[in-house]
Amino acid sequence: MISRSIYSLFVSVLLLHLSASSQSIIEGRIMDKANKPITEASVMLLNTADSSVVAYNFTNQNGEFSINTDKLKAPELLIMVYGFNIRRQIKKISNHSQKVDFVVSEEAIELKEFAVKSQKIWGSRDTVNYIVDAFRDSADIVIADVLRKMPGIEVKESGQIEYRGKAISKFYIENMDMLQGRYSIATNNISASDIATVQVLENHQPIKALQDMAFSDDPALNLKLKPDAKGIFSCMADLGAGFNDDFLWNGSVTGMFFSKLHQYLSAIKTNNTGVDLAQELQSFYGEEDQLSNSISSVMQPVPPRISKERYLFNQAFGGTINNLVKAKNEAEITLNFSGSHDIETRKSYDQTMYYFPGNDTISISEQMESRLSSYAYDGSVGYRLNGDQNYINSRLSFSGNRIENTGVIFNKEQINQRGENDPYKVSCLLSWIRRGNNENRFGTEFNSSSFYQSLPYNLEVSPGMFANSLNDSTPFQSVSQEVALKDFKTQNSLRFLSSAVWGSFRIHPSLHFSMEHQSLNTQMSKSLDGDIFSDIQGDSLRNDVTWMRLKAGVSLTLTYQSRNFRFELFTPLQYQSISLVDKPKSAEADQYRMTFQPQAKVSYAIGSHWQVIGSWFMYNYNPTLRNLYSGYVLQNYRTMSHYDSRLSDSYGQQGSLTLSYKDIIRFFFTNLEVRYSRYLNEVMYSQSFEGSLMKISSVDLENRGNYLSITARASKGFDWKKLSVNMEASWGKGLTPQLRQNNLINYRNQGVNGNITLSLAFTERLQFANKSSWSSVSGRIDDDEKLEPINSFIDAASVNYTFPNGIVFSMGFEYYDTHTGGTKQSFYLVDSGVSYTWKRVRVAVDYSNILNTKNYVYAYFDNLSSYYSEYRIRPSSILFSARFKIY
Amino acid sequence: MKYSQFIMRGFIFVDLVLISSGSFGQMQRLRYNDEFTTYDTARYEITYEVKKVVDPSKLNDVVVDIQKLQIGKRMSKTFSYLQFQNDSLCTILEKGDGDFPSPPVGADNREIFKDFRTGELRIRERVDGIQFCYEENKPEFNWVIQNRHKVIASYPCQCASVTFRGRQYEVWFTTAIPVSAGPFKFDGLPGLILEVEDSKHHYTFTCIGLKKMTTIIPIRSQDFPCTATTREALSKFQLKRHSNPTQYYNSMGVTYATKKDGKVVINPKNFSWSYNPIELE
Repeated sequence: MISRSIYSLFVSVLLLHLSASSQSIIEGRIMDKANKPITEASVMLLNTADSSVVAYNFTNQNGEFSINTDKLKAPELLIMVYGFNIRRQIKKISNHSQKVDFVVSEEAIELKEFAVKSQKIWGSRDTVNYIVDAFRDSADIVIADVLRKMPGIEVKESGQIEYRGKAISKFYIENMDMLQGRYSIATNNISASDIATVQVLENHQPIKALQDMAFSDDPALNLKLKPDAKGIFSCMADLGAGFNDDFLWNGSVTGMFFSKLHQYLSAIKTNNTGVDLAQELQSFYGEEDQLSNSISSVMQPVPPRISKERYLFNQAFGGTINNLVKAKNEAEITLNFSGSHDIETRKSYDQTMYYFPGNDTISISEQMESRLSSYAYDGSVGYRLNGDQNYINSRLSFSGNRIENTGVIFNKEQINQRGENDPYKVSCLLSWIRRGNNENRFGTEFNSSSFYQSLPYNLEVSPGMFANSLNDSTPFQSVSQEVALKDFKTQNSLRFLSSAVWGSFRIHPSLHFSMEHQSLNTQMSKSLDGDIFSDIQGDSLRNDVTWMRLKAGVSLTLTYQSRNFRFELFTPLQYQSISLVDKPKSAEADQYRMTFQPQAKVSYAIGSHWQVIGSWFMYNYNPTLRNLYSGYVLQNYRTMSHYDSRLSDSYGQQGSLTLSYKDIIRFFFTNLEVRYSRYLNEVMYSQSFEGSLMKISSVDLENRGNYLSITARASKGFDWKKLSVNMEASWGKGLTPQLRQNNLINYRNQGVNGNITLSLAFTERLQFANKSSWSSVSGRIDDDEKLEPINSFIDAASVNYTFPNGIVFSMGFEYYDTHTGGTKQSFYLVDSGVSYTWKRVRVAVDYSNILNTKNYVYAYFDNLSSYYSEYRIRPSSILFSARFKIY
Repeated sequence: MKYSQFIMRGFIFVDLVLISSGSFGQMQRLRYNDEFTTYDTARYEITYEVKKVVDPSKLNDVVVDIQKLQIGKRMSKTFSYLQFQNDSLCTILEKGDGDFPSPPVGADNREIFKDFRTGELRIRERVDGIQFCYEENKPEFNWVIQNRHKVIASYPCQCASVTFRGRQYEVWFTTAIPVSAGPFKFDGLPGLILEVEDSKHHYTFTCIGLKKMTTIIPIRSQDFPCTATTREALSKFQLKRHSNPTQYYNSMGVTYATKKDGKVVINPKNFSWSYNPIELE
């Protein structure tokens, strides 16, 4: 034992000795010519044969260095001193411990410069190319399937495309904008195998004449076709079938053709599964082609704010045709048309409660059923020339509908309503930009948009309502009303393409001019028996009114920015003239004034945790003809309204202040927001009741209202099972004066609500989420009478499980509970689904509303009224669906 | 074409949509003002092309960055040129009233300043509109010089290897440029490092440009507000953020949406971004 220890010690000492003696230690000092030490210079020992580095070190603060090297490696070495700005020196030394000093002179390094041209440099107007085949797998059929996988690109449920969180501003196929924003027809039907590349044009300024001055960070998307997909016709299809109480179907066929000078895409679609076709054919460019509402209507069930596929009972057929032709001067001429026919039925039981001072109420119960048949159409023709100095964009669009609406109300008696209308709208848009050829490229930009719309409505109600006013208090068979509302508006602006800068302040001026003209003609007639209607005489029961508003002014936008502080002020100063001519009353009214409606916004960041944001604006509102006619109009079977032809004003202001705190590293965020608004109206709209019938009229009575709300929010993420919790609570209180049965009521409403959302992953494959929300709202009449609060509670939970073979199973549970006074209503909704993609066909089975819940029940308060509704929803259904390419 | 494929292949940050839920969630962003702190004047500028594998399970999915190393008398700075270009654009846009482009794909969000006298590193790292700052002592590199040689851009280079914060690297340096510097935090060899690659081929740095400054180019940083932290705290935060982005965005009051199996999912529950940082320890 002892001998073994002694032996080990001997070996250790021997090894230590050998290792020490096999090392050379080269030491030294490096000084410049003024005898100052050179620090951080590299000193290297190099092989004499190939000058490769054997060992190295750097000099210290005193210019000293020390390098160890292996004695056995080479008998001789080179020692090199070289540095940032010292001349290189090399000495040959023998490989043993020694001291080598250097005196060096200054010299800048001679560099052999080089540069490999970098190919992808991200710039202001860059293009990202996605090669479609690199993203496409066997499960992908249409281009939208592949777009969803491309980093940065999102396709939302509505079909809208976003790039890095921002909606695309233009959608091109081969650089041509044929669809004018109706691109979901293209993305859902163009075969993925036909597209070579998807290009994202980042920071896309579609107007070439503005490219040097107006930065845009809008992305645009361009689909580039494979050469063999150009100039041929292709076709896609969607098929689905299922059942609830009836047979369910869902189908579409789309054909398309793309070539250099001509593009074409058309589709036909049909379903009765609750998919709104009109929405599918909509444009995402957000141009205002939509028709306004009529001032009269059939009273029909109001759908709840839930997904349409839950409640829409439809039978829809529709189609679209789109064409683009490129002219010789590169101008694009587009032609688009789409049309759809839909039959929709609705059913509900509603209770409306109107409150009065002294605990009085009027309660109206209505069992409602309605049927709506519509033939909607819209289209446009456009010309666009996009030159470097000249830009012209003009579009003429039209949209219209032909609607037949019938409704039956079971109140105390059966009331039949019938509405017919065929509204239409024509709008035109003109943009023109001209830039100079000189260095500054001064220029002008002119934008103009105008529309004309006709909103007629023919309403017939039987039995006749408002017998007191319309038939000398004698019951009569039916009342009919013709309404013709015509509306014209033009808005124009002129901008000089330069802006003033003064330090951190910036000013952008522009000129504006707008004109609006509206006319309203109404006439009521009645039938005592049979189909013979006669006009009801009396100027108070008809209208022939015109209204016009002219505005002209200057707008200045002032901005100031520093790192932590931002301020924006928008100051539109306008001259406004309004005139009203009421022929039956032989009355005319005019109003002239200057309006100033400033808006301001301030934000201030305190460190990286706190931020304060404030905003404020002032407004001045004038009623349009919709609130200025003097003869009675039947709004619906139980509401008649008339206003005065007096031109009045409303003034108001709104402000908000938000204080936020966040600790990002702890995943914690919270904020507190206060909002306040107040207004002053010169007139009030008085409501008076005759039984359940309501008359609305305007009264000169100055009144003020206000609203205050406070909201607090907090959220936190935890490590445990990826648990996330979000909470929000808010409280609000407002005063809204109401004039009901000639009593001025100071109606105060008040509400609190809170919600909490949490999500967690039990395992990688099993996920769970839950959202609970609770609210309580109530009102108070003139400080004393408190109305019964409406309390509601909603809980929605969902579970998802992904099987190892790729089949996804999902299930959702929802619970709703509404308490009003002593009554309580509650119900459940349960859904489930399975989806799988097999070769080039996507297959899914959805089992919706498994418990076959009949109605969606909800209640809410509006000004001095409460509403309760049981709305019929789609019954339990099973739907099989598939999507594939025909050729 | 090769490049565009690199760009389009998955990058962790670009597949998200952020929907602001009312006034609750507001993604903070940096305010780009013309305010800078200047530390030194660049004498040399070295440009590297950096290729990164974002998801270790997909070695072919590579993103590309262009990084510059500016070397002054007292200080050096490493930064992403793509990010720099984006910042320049944002600084112009800040003066107008436009919105802002997202950070370019592949761009590194770090600026690394090295003080030659102390060897200390100062790092500024941006995450969603917040700039985190931390300092590090001179990192230890136990270089092993290898007897292998090659020529890069006409410079004779020698190989050296090192293990640094969880990765094994092979680098190529040249004694012909006697600047002890390199990309990222690499340092301590008797010459400039022109190429770096880790053993798993997740990170490669290749010198694509070398320039001696003839005009005065300051080594500076834009004065964004700093949130002080440590390297350990920040890397823990990044790991947590990547492993559960939904939780991360929700905690800021922002709704997170992405697509899963071809469907848009709001606040996906079991979802993570691939995370493959250069420093594993």
